[in-house]
Amino acid sequence: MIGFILQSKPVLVGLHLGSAILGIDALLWLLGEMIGRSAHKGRILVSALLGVLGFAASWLIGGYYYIKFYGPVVKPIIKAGSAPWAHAIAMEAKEHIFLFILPLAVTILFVSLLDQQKLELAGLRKPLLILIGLTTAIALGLGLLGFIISSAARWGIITL
Amino acid sequence: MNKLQKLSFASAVSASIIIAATAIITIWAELSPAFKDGLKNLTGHHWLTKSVFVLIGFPLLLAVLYGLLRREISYSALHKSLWVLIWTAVIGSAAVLGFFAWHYLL
Repeated sequence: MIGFILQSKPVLVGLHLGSAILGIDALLWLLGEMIGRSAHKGRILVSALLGVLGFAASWLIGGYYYIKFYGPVVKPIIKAGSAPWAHAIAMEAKEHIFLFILPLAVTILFVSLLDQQKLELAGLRKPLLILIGLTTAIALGLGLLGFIISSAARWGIITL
Repeated sequence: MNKLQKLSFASAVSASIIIAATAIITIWAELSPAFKDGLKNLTGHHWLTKSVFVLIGFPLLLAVLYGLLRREISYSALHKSLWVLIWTAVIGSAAVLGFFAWHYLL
């Protein structure tokens, strides 16, 4: 089963995207809890932790796919196709900005677990909400870059 | 001392340093083929080296900072560290995307 997954390119891309969506949805859930001034520690912990785990899984799976298949198989197709910029700009930016996500998600986890009343009184709620929103926006932006890269690969094959 | 407050501060500072360093390393590697080759030689792939740098560097820096912080971390210091992290992430992302766009279009 593991062997099949590791060799199956569409499954790897699906798992990479799926776990990133899990991370994004978890952060949106956390954002809702924070905006609603939730006092439910359990929900805050689960949503923030799911965010970290989702992005960690996406990194691991996406990284394996990137090194094993993207470089040797997909990249040459995109570079020879009608949109070589999809690799030169979108992929290069995506693979490096992705490295920022996990430290951001881990920091969000710690800050979210602080006492909510103290967060409010100390004026930490605003930067925390912005940090969660920003991390979600960056992750969604990376998803958009991923869509551009996949589309360029498909059009690259047609062009070739 | 509130340990979670200290952990949050150490995490925000470590994340800011690691994000800024990763952005600088990424751009520097594109401008210096010798440096990029050096990164590649460490693990077999330049991106893998950068990933290992973040995966080891971030928790290591966090642990060192957490251990070094003796005094109580005020909410004001934590407030500042979060804003620094927000701006580091914005500038780091814009710098990486902008650099690759500029590098391609040049």
